[in-house]
Amino acid sequence: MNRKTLLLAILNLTLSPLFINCGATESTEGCPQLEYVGSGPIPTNFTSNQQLLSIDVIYPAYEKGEKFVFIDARPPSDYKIDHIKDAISLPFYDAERCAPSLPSNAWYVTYCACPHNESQHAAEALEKAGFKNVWVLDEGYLEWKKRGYPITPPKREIHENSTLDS
Amino acid sequence: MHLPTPKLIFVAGYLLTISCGQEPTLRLKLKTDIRAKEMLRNLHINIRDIHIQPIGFGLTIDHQITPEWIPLPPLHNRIDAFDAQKKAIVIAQFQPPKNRYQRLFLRANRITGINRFGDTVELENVLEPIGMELQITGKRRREITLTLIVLKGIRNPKKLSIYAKDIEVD
Repeated sequence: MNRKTLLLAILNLTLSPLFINCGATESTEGCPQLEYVGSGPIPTNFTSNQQLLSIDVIYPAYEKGEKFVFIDARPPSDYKIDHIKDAISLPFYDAERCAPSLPSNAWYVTYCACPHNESQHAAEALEKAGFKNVWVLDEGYLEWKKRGYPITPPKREIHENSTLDS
Repeated sequence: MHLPTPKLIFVAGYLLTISCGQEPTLRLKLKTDIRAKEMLRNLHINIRDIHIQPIGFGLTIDHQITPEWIPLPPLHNRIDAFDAQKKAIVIAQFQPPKNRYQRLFLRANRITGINRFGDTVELENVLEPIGMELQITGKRRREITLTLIVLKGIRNPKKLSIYAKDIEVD
């Protein structure tokens, strides 16, 4: 190796770290880890052409332990109070940033309490990132709770004059 | 009038206790995160009302204010969202009953955006109740900071929406 080649090699080693992150987009720091609600087959009933999917289709798949990811698109402070059991927290405003940290070939159902403003924003962000199987819980989280479906922590006592669950 | 020192200390302590007891125990601040700055020159939020909900109650599907919600009288009716992006603005000070509270709900009756050409920009109002963990004991002053976020639509980037983003309780 002559002197010129050696100098080029050193220069390359010195400068290359500066260019490694040139194409990188926003950081995925703090993004959630993937967690499926079940380990069974992928959902077979999620066949609607529409992004919004009824709770009557989603809950049976959840109950059977089919393999999909529930995404809670509400702010983290809402998720902290309670959420669908085994759902992960990915706030709507972080979905675009965090999409690269999630596998695009998994099946996802997003939800919120609006009943589907925040969840739809998150779903569209994932679709924009190339995800093919993204659905939105049409009736939203409050309907899930009202029906007594599994949440974390489990449903608490409610006040008599409460209009809905707590 | 000359008071002996022990009496003076007692009176001073009493006055201090009274004045502390009258201070609002809850202060609410508002911050904004505007992610569509290139589409807006001005953004004003007209506050309709602010409420906090004691723990143990639920939400209606259409996010109605049900009787258990406690109103926090707003200090301002109109907020400049760009000012609130630079520095959190105190929007309410209040002494709510001693209790634990689980949600805050700021409702806006008008959100006015203006673009750089001076035209009105429509914003979708998606403000809804946001969860929090707040305990009012009366002994300690509490401060809540609510952050609102303005986002562009993913499919339709010309559509702007405003949401409750996050809440911090000190």
